[in-house]
Amino acid sequence: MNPQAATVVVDHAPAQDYSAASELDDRCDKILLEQLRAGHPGAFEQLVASQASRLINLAYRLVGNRAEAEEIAQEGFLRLHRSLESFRGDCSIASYLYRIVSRLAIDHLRREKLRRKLFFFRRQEDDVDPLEMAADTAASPRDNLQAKETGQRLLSALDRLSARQRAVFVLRHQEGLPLKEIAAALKLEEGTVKTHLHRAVRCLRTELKDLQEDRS
Amino acid sequence: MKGKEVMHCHTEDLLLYYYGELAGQRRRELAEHLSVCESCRKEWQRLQRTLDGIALPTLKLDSIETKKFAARVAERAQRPGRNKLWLWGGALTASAVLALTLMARPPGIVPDQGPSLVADAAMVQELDLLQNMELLEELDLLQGLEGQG
Repeated sequence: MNPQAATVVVDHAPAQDYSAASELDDRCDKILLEQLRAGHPGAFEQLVASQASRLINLAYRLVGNRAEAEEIAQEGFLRLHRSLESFRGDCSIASYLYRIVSRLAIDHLRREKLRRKLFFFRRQEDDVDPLEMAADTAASPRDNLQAKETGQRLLSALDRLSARQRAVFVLRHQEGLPLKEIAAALKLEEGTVKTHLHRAVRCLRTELKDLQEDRS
Repeated sequence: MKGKEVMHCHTEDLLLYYYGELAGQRRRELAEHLSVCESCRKEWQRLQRTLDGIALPTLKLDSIETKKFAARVAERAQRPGRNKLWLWGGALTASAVLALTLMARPPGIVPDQGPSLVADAAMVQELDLLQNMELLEELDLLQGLEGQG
């Protein structure tokens, strides 16, 4: 038996952000909700500040553009604010925001695809490149350039996926959400989520074949 | 997974295995199979290499950017909400005007529909579709979230 085969899986399930997103437990949510509903000065702004980075990054990975990602994250927060009165707390605030932003991003991607189809629209190339902002200052310029190129390749490979495939892949691979949670967030059957994930990975493997060959 | 010489792993199972989404028994069977089947093991290693190499870029927001963003959102949240009824009102008015125009058209006159006109009409329909879709998606989303929250 290959000793790596059985053990490696646990290490590679990227369970990074979602567990952190769940840190706002029921009790904290309750207190926060009470403060928000009571119009506590600064409570909403504090909530936004604490979740902004996570949500903007989620939206960025889903749509691939920083300005659009910020718009989507902003809309997600505003929708939470508008529905504070009716928010029953069936899920945590963090999960609720994740769901809103994921669905908003899917809607956005679909509209973008339709617009591009209708108007042969192309994204402006002179936008500030957000990947520059993620450059690792400790790495050499050559490494940074390579990382930037790889990042761009990944984003364009993701562009080839359908909106749902992309969302499922990003939520599972990068955000570490279990498939069950993804199904609930996107209102899909778990089997459908598995199919989307499988198709997404198949497509990405084809798109990124040369990168894979370079590494091996 | 039975009949180890013949049955190979499905990529879908390997994928679920990678993400730790295979349940106990299936997971053990697959691990066992990988230990004896070289072909599947190679495929597993290829899949692992690809997925390990996919790390999506991360935006780094410093504290000033985060504060600015939070302040902007909080300020937007304080603005009075826009009533979406005007959108429906506009759509209804446009439909009514269109219907009246069609009814007022003298009988017997058939508009000349050249190929370009047909193409234009198709484009206008698609634009309408796009607009309606956006409107409906927003409403669906809001209703869905209200039901959930």
